Amino acid sequence: MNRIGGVWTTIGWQHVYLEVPEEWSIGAVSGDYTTGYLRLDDSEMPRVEIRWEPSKGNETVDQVVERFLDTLLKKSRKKSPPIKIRRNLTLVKDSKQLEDRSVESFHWKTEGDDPIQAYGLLWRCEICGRTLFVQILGRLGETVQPLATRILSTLRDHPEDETAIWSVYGMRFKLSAQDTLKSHKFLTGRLTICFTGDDDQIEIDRYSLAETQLDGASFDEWYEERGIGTVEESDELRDDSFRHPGVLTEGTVVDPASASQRMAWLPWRRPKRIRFERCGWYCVDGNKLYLVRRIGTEANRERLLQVAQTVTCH
Amino acid sequence: MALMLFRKKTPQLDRRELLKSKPIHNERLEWEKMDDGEVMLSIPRRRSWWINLIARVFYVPTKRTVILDDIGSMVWGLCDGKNTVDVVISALRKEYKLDQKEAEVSTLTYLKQLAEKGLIGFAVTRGKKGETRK
Repeated sequence: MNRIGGVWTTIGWQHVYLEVPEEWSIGAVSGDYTTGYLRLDDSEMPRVEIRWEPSKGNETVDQVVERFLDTLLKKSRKKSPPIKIRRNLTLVKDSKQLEDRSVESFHWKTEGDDPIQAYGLLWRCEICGRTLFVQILGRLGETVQPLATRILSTLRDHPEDETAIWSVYGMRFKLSAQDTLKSHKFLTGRLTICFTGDDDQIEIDRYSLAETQLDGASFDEWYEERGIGTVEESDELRDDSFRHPGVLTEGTVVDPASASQRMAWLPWRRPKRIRFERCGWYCVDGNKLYLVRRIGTEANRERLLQVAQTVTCH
Repeated sequence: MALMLFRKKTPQLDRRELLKSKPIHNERLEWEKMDDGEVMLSIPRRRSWWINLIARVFYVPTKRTVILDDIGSMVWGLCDGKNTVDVVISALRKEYKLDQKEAEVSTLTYLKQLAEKGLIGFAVTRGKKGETRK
C-alpha cells in the first residue's frame, strides 16, 4: 500500500478536515456538526473511520480509549482469533496540532483469514468542544503506519479562520464557519449540498457527465432550463477569478417556507417573494456543470460570488 | 415454496471477487456496433407455454432490440471476458472524468442490471489453482 507518494485529495465535512490518497472517497456519512460519522473507502474496503461527538463527563481520553479497546476485545473473543493491541504510539508529532488537545493513540490487528489492522487516535479539542475518534484501516501485510501518520498530521477539527473548508468527491469550496449544513444528496452523477446562513440559504450543485447532461444543447440553454423564479437581471461571469465562462442571474422567487404553509390561498397568507442570485459554469476539463444558488430576503450578490469563487472544480 | 427448493442458487460474490471478476457477454446474444458507435443488442424473446399460446393468435416478435447509449456501449465493449470489473470502472472514470465512487457505483449498478437480464455473466477465479467459473 505505497500510496504516500501518489496523488492526495482533501476531505472536509462538518469542519473536520483531512488529506487522504485520491482513490479514497466518502463511503458513509451521517449526523451533524455536534455528533456524526464519516467513513472513507477505497475500491476494496473502508480505509478511514471518523466519529465525533461533544466532549462530556469526567472520563479522560485515556479512559475512553481503554473502554473502546475493551469493547473491541470482548467482541473479538466471541470469534477467533484474538485481537492484538498496542498503545501509547506517537502518531501525531506536530506541536501545533497537540495544542489545546488531549490525544491518545493506539494500534490493533486481527489475525485469521482476512486479517486487518488499524492505527487510530482519540482526541479531545478544548476549542470546538468535540471528541474525535479516528482510525486508519489496512490489511495486515500493508505498511499502514507511515500513511496513518501522514493522514493524521493533516487532521483538523475546526477551521483556523472564519471560513470552513468543505470538500467531497473532488469538489472543494469555502463557506463562512457560521453556515450550517441543511441537507445533502450524493447521487451518482449529481451532488447537491445546501447550507443555512444567518438570513439566507446557499445551495451548491455539481453535475457529472456534462456532455451527456447537455445532450447537444449549449450551456446557456441548459442553465436556463434549470432556472427558478422570475429573472430580473442576467449577466456573464466575467470575473477573473472564475476559470470558466458562466452565467449569473438575479431575480425573485416564491419563498419555499411561505409557499408550503397552511391556507396559503388566503390573501393575507399568500406566499411571499424573496430574492435569489444564481450562477453556473461549465468546467470542460472536469466534464462537470456547476450551479450555485443563494436565496435570501435581501439581495446579496457578493456573498454568492464569494462562495462560487472558492469552488474548486478539478 | 416448493419451487424455491429446486431453484438453482445464484452464487454470491463478495466485493473483492466482484471487482476481480471478468464480465462477459452472453454468447447466445447477437449484437453489433453501429456507425455512430452505439451498440445494438438483439435479445431473443423467451419462449414459454403462454407466449407460444399468444403467438398462435397474435404476432409476437422473436427478438427484442435494445440500443445502448454512449456510456452503455463503452461498458458493453469492455465486457469481453478479458477485462475485470475494476478495469471497466477505471476506463469509465478516465473517459468521463468521474470520481472513483461515482464511476464505481454507476458501473456496478449497470453491470448488475445487465446480469439480471441475462445479457452478461461474470467469470470468477476461485481457489488456489486459479479455477475459473462462469
